[in-house]
Amino acid sequence: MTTYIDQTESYKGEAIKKLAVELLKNNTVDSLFIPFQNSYSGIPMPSLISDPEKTDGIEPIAPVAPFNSAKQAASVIKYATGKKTAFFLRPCEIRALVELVKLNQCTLEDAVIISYDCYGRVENKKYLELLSSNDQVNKDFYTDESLQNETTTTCKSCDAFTPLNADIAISFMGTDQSVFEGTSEKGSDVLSSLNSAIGGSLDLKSGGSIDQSIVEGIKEKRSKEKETLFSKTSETIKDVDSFQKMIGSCLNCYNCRTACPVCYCKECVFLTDIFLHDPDILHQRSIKKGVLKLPVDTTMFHMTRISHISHSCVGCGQCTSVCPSDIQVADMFRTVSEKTQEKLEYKAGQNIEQPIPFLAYKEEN
Amino acid sequence: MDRKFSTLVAGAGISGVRAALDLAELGYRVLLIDKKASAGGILSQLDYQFPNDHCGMCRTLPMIDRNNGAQFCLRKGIFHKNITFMPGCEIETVKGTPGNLSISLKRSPLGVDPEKCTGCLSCESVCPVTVKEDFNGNLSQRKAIYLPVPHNIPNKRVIDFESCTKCGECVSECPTNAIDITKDVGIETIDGIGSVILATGTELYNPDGVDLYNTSKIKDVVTATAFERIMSSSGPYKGKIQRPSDGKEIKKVAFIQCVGSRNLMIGADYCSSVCCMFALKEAALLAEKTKSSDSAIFCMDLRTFSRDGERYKERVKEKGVRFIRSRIHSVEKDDSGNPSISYVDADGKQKSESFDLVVLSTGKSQNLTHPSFIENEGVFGISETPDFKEISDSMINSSFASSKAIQIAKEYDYETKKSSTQINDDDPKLHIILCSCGNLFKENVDLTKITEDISRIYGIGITTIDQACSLEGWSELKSIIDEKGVNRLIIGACNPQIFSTKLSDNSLLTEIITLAEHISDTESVDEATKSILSEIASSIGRLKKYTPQKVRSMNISKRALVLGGGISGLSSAKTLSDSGVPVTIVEKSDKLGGNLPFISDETVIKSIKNLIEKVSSDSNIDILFNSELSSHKGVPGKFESVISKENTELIVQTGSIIVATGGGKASFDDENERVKTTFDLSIELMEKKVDAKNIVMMQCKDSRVEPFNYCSRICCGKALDNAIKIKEQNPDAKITMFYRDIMAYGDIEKKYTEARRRGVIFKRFEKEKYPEVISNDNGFTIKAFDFILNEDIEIKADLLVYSTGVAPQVDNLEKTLKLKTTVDGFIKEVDFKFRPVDTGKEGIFICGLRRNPANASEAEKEGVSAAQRALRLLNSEILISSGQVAHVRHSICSRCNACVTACPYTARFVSVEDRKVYVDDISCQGCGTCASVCPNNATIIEGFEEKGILDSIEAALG
Repeated sequence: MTTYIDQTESYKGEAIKKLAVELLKNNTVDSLFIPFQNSYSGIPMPSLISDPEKTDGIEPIAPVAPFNSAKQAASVIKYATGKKTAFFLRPCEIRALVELVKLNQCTLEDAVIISYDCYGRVENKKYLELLSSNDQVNKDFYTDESLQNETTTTCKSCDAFTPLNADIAISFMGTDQSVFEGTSEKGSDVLSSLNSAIGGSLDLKSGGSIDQSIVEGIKEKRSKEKETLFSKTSETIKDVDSFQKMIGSCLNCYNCRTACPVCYCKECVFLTDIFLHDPDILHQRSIKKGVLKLPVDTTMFHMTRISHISHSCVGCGQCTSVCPSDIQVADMFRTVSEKTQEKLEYKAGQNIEQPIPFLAYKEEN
Repeated sequence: MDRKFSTLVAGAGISGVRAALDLAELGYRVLLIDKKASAGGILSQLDYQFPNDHCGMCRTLPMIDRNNGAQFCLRKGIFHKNITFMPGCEIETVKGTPGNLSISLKRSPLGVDPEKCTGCLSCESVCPVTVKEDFNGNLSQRKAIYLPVPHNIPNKRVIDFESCTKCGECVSECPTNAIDITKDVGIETIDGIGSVILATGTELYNPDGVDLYNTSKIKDVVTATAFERIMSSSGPYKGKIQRPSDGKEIKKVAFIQCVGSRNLMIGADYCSSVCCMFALKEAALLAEKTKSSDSAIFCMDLRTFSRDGERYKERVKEKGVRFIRSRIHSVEKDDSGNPSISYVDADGKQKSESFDLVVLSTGKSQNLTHPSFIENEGVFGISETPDFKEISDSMINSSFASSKAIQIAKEYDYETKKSSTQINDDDPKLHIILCSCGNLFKENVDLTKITEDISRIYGIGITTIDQACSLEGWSELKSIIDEKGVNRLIIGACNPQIFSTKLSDNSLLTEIITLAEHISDTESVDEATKSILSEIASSIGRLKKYTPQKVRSMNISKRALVLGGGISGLSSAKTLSDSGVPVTIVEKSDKLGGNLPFISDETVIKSIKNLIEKVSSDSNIDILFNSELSSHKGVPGKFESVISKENTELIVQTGSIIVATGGGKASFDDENERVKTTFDLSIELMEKKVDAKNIVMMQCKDSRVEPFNYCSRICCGKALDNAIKIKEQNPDAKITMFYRDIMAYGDIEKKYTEARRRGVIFKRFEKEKYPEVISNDNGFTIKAFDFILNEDIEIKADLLVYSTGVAPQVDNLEKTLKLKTTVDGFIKEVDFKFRPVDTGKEGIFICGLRRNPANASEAEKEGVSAAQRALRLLNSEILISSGQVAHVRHSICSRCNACVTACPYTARFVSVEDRKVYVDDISCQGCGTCASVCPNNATIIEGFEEKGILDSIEAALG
């Protein structure tokens, strides 16, 4: 494990951008997968960049994520192509990617994963609002605590914000510098080959220290938030009635499932003909109950999603972000998932060697 | 002349059933008879089997073209379109020649017409005769009119005419006039039978009347079969493990081995082979069920000679079961009424101990012989004498016999009848028929509400019939079906079994509801009505959306690949070729015969040489020497194997693969020429005399201990042969054999007796204390502990012979063919008992030493049995999959491969070409495991499309 420090930039985003551009320029990788501000979206979108001359729009750590980009990342590395790609991802995106690897949706053979201490994200709408009054919001977010207070409920209560399973980890918390750390053999190799290619011009050197107590402090604060949130949520889903109340206004738009990075089915079972009911079934249900709320199968949908992927939920909060009915889907999911994963002695996105419980099927079970 | 049945199988125990199924699966029609009133033999009484302590008998059922037979618990009865079962029959005489045998059967009346009997029990309630129920080891009672096997389907009664007083009470009570007590035993002659398989099994030794065991005085001394019934949930105490005398819970049991076996006094100079494992299994089950740990097995040797037996024994020992080497002196009642065993232990000391229950491990009865017609041409016995066999041995021997019957069926051109599945894909026209069973259901169920609700909610018509089981009722039912053009039917009646056989017409999809159950399970008319309504609704959901099963077919490569030209491979190849299947043998060395050079039995050598000769000259068999399998792909019926032969590669397409790569002597190295292995000595003894005077034979060398913790099965027999031969040559030679357990199973026991008679000295040692050998100029000194003298002894020897065991071939086939192995590297069959030569992968079979230690004739039979299994596939030009198989909807499949991992039949694979998941229709058993792990229904099971199932669940939930 080698540690490098880049002291040249005060805005961490610039340091990361520099690293990205150099990686591409020096052919250390063939392409970058990184948020990029293009001319037609207000929000930096994950982009696959292969031309080192077209890297200006790179915005690696804007405090926004249009979606959890793990599924998009997976589509680039569905199978090994020999094209080496550096993926700049948030910790929750890596966790989802690790789950997708286990679900046979992609392979990390050609991937170098680069990540950083995550301060969280604000909702897309909020970001555009902030941006309209402050074009330096990307930079200011990291120094202005009031901006950081605008992050999502999920982010505020996320205690898994440091890079895990990255090849190169970049630390901001507890240091004034940007500490680049090769956290895997692959990452260390990439860093040292890059450094020698550019004659040490990144001013990378061994050393660097992080004040762990600051990181721990943040973690403690967020864990507390999480605890409060989970116990509150447990109350709202304690039985079927409360659960149905919570999702009462669900309109079956399936946005949550589209936004979910581990809902990996090509086509959701709820979109197949199984749930395309003939009118006579609806009438039968109505006759039996007297009143039939429409759309039907909303409880079934959320329950099914819980049973299908609560073991793989990485707690990114995107399901809540995309809900048009303001249902706190993520709170519910995260609360249930933590229990599921505890029971299965499994933690989503953590150990890439440990198979997902339902895939480790044995006849004896 | 009627030539309906190609084969008559006498005996419907597991051996007979296996043989019948072998023939039936090839399309031949079989007449299966049993002298008892029901099928199933002894296994119908046993709930649990080694090694997994489950039953698993159903695994015998066909897995290819399985629509031909019922697919449920085989202990409930055998149902296959090509098998006709006649209970109460015995063969009197067999006349004629193969292909045209005339068989006269003695047919005992059953007293009840199974067509008419509804299983209503009214006959039993009036029968005045009560007798002991032999099914439950005489621990319970039954009437003279009774159900021979409680879990049999259908539950037709029979009359035991030996105890029936012909009082006629039942005749007048029977509501369907099903009973006739006037018939006598009749003789029936059936002509045109191709061959006969005699699978009548054996009889168990009856310990009653033997003073030693005191069964007449002590109720708590029972046979092993009775104990199995005590532990069974369908047994005399409904699964409560209690003893017969006072109902006290059984915790501590003594098993007495060799009851009626290995006893020269009663002329039983044989080992019954299975009782040791049987006792171990029962001891394990008891320990498991009652959490007790103080049982003991009293034995001379503990014969765990099956491949995984040794490890099983150790597991049982870990549960706290004691193994006591002993001779039983007597069984008496102690002061507190418990049975107490007096015995002489290994040290020669007399001891006694009390137990809750004593179980007698009864073997086969002595002096049994086959009937004289076994000598007729065209009659094949499962075994040479009526024998007690371990299940897998029975299966292998049955298929060996059925292969001969198939030859005859083929030679004499018996008609084969394969399945023809009609497909009903008309629009569903559903109707419901409820039988009011006289007035019974009118009183207990609100039929009006059911009719109204169903038509209000579902708009489906219901007709009520008074007595659907009567002739009038039946014709009314038929006319409703015809009039309304019904193609999907729901019937609610008292006993649905009456209809299931009558309505086997595929063009009518039927669901049957047992109304009586709903009435007995509920407490009020309202509840019963609701419960029936919910089941009807559930059936409507299923039937409405049911998509008729499509049947796929595939052309097969009519050739078999036999890997290995040893004994099992040769017999496999020969059997296949005789059935018209071309064979390619792949042999690693440059000659056929495998372990032939290590065989010393002249008859066996002659028969193997004969087999080599036949195979070599068979134009239907290609032999590739100096070659090996290097890679493999494809599905059953169409495998593609790459064979590497002296730097070249050739591709062979075959429908099936038989793994017979064998194994050989376990490696052993000692340069001292006065040290030999049992195998080498046996070859030497064929040629010359052994001049040694003091010979010590040491069994289980590096065997039955880790890492080779299995019994090699053949060494004890060979060592005994050697000892007898040396004694014949030189009666003065002093032979001492050190052993742990002499594995002289079956008739090998006679050799053990003979060796002792000739003065061979046997000394037992414990696993942990292998005798120490010190070599010196004159030979060896062996230091060991003598159990009888209770002290250390030293024995001098000028020849030392080690039994070193056998080991499987190291050939990497488990990887190439993706097969499972045991910890010892033997290729594992899919079910040790019931499918011993099937690997987990359909189309690939395993036999001989590569699977388990076996002697030459056992390996030969395994080879035939494996070929027999392969013939199910290779016998036809096309393979027809069963309707109900899984398939993948590629357009929505995310290829997470969860289904591939989950499939218990390895029927799924990922294509190298397009990365998609495919299902091999032939291997797929439609079990649905894949569908349950698939998150979005990209995998669906035909006939179980979720739509219907979900509707059905919804309906059931109300």
